[in-house]
Amino acid sequence: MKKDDFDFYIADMIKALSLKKEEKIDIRHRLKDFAQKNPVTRNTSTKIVSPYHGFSFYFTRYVSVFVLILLVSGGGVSVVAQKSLPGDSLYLVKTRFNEEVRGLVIFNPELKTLFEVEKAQERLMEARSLSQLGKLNPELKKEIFESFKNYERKVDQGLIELARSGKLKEAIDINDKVTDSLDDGGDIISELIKNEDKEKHNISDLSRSKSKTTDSEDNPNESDISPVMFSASSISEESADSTSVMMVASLPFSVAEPNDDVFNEVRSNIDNIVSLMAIKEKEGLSENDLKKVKEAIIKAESLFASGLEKYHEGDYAEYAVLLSKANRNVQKANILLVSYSSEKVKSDSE
Amino acid sequence: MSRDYQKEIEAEFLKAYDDLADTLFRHAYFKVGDREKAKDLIQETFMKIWTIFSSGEKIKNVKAYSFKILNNMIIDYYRKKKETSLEVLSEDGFDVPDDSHEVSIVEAEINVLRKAVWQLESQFREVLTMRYITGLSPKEIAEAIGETENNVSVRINRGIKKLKENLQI
Repeated sequence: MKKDDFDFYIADMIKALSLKKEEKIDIRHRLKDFAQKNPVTRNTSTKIVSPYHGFSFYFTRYVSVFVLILLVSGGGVSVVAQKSLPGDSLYLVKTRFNEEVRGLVIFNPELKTLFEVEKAQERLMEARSLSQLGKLNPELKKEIFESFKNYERKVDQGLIELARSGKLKEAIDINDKVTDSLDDGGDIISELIKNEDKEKHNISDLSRSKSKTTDSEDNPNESDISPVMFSASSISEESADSTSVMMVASLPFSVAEPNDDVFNEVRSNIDNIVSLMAIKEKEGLSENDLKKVKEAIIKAESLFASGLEKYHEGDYAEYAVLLSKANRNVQKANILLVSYSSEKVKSDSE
Repeated sequence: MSRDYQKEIEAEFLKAYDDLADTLFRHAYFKVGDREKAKDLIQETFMKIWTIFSSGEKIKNVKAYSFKILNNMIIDYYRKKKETSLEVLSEDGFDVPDDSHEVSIVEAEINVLRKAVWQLESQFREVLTMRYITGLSPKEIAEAIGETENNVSVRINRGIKKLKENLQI
């Protein structure tokens, strides 16, 4: 057989292997259903408003009034605004003026990234204060969480730029600060995530409706769990303790160059939390409560895949950041698990 | 969040599925040799892609990204099965076809082909899979594996020659 003929032979054979029309439609319906149950969370197509829009609006129209207030109060408005909370009348002054103005005069990339970390921490503090005052309603939770995630994205971008410019140590330090913030704000983060959770539908419906494979028949207890989590059964309970998850959270930045060991560690980290989740499920936590944890794991898996892609492309800086993000997502999942477990113990004892 | 925007992103996502479903299915089937598992894998792949779409993040190259996710899921699948070592898998491994299932003529032919490809050295297996299963051009393969286009073409030719020997054609 000539080469060209062989080409056609293989190409024809491969082409003949395809999804049946009904199979393709069936999967399409499931995906559409999944997309509708997990709606878009951020609208990137809407008009992009400059972060300085509000500032410039006030500046151009009310500059004289503003300067007058500043002169009269000696900057008092700004100082008082710094203690304001979401929902307060002066809160916009805090976020649109105080913080933006401070940001305008920071040019050092490291300090700029640290400033984003600081703002993310501040949002968590505000949420905690509101919670203590009993004023943390769902709208404010949503607003604060969106804001927190926005800063987190900016931090990640800053970390990539720092790592790319050779400032890996600085990036490691900042990443540690982010990890600490998550640790310190664990209680409030779980509250914010759970609030978001209420606005979405359960993704496990789709997993349940999937046709059963040989794998699921072999593991009937895991049939409702995403395939991402199947490796959970092979991990021991001891290895799934939260401390180990926390300890490796900043791992990717602890090495200058990536290698397979790093992958294995991050992978193991993801497996650990999946394992912990599987244990919690067996302990009786409802699947609905664990939905967000599963989403966090899926997200972590996606980030892990992106990291893998960058690693193969040789972009180590982005690789490190993506893997770090994956680990932070796992950390969030762990925070939620601990929170759900505490609630379960509390309700059982009552 | 506007309903129009949700619809717009949803349409973009479903178009990606329509465009890539068959190619990804072939890729998955060729690697796992199980129709139902291959279907599950592509469904899970697109669920993950939606997670990215819905978060507002942009994927520069959906095709490349979906293959990357699918490949990772295939590695997970093998990790679970623990029938093949991870070292082999990371070199683009394949499952040995299971003949116990009732399969169509096409699937039976594909399984013969898979066995023959499996016997090739990894350098040939890689480029032939990318060329014929994934449908990449020699230029795209060259970019993906960091080789020159000439080297890739030579490898494809040699790989086909060896494959024909394995298939006794």
